[in-house]
Amino acid sequence: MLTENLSISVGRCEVEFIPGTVAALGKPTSQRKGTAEQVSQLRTFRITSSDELNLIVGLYVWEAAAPEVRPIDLLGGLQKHNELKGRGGISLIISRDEKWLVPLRVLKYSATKGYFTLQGASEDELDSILGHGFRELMMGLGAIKFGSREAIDEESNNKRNQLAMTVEPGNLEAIAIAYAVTRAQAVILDFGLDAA
Amino acid sequence: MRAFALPFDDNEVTILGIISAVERAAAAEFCEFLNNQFGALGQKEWFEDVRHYRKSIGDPFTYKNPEDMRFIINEAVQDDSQIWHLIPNMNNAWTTAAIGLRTRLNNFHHGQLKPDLQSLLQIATLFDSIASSSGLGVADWARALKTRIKKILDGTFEKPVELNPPVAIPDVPSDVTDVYNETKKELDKRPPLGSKWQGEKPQRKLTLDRATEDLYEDGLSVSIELGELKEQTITTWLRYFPRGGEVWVDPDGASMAYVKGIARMVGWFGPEPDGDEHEVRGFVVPRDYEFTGSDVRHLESGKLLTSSSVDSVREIIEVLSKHLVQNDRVSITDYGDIFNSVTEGVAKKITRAHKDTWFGGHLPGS
Repeated sequence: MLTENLSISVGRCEVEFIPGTVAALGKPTSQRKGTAEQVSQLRTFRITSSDELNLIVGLYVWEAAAPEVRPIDLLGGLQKHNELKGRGGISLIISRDEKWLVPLRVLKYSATKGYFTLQGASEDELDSILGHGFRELMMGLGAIKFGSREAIDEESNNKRNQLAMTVEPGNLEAIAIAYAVTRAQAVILDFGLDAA
Repeated sequence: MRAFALPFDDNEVTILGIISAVERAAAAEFCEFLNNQFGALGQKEWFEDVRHYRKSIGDPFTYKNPEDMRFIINEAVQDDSQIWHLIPNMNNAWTTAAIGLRTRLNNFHHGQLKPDLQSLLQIATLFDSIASSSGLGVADWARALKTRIKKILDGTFEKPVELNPPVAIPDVPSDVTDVYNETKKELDKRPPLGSKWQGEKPQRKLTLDRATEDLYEDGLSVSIELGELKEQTITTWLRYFPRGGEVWVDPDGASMAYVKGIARMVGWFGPEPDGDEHEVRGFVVPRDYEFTGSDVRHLESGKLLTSSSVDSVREIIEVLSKHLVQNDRVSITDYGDIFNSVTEGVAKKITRAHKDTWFGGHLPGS
């Protein structure tokens, strides 16, 4: 539910959009090795939850790399929320029609590893994490296409069956909520543990 | 009969009041009906006659007047009932509904009926079943209740902004509110395992490690504090908090953790405070069970406990076998206290189950 356009409640999370865009110097995740730092336009949002999570996340729009979503600072939370610090970023892809393609993988608990890993998800799984229709939520927030990467962007590689959506470049609301559901909410609900 | 009182939401006081009012209205109607029937037969002292008969054969009889729904049902469903022949359209369905209603009214009078819309819907359905076949007016109230509750539950009922004329909330007898408040107080203080935690987060923070099956405080194991209770404590905590992680412990040992984002009661650090070993605590789970002689059957689904539970229930069945006979009704509260659905008096706990030794999804935390 959108409240005053500043925050959105989704599942056990509250996503608060922090106004403004700042210039940030750094290296894109996809170009960590050897390249020089570059400037990004950074917009941030905060995810808080019913179980004390307080996470600042950024949408980085790089000068010379694809945009990405990365956690910036874990200000508070439980031990398990540390899982959100080191993994779970989203590398966005520029689609054939010049939109932003958001791969929809989820953080899932691995019993053998004892921690969360990013894994492909079905639409049913996304619905179960959210508690209702994930696709409808995303379309309501401005998603343009929703489906397999093959269906929405004609991909033919080994990721073609991966679930994804496209949004207008810069649609922070849709991207932040997708991040909140597939990362924060998944960890909060211990997604994957019941099957372990 | 007074105007139909219907709920507008899930207000507990209103629900308790409506249950009480419907029960009284039904009892008055049934009683009037029986007065007329017996009157036509010249048996105006019929209630006294029933009392003498029951006493003469050694049956317990505590009813003070015939305007008591539990008396009417209890007498109607006896094998040697003194009134069944006067109740029209009586059949197996009537008897089954009456027994179900009697159980719930007993729960209600002992503060064990959870005052929510589901309970009210069940009671309204049962009143409809026994009153409509006898052509009593209270059946109209029961049907109106069913319609209103279903609308509230499916979100199609719009609560009026202003009620004109204002609808009075039915009075609740003080004995009912007293036992209800007692149960609620206990639930609020220390809810059943797996239920939402009530109150402030405790100060002491421990960590339950799923891999080592141990408890730590600032990195050091504290399980020595538990002594012989270590294994039992950790097993219980992991039952309700399988992922492990931070657990906060109150000075009395009550322990809380965030389970899937919600603060829940997951167990006790140390012994659970002693209570009366026979006391039945909490609200009755609104489901019907029957002891088969060697198992427990959930009457709605027909499932048997031995093939439905996660853990072995051999001990529970053994204990039940010592206290129950075949076809006895069994009730369980949200604390897992199992008892015979007695018709009179205060229920006594027979044994206790937890979410993994009962039907999946029936107890909190499952």
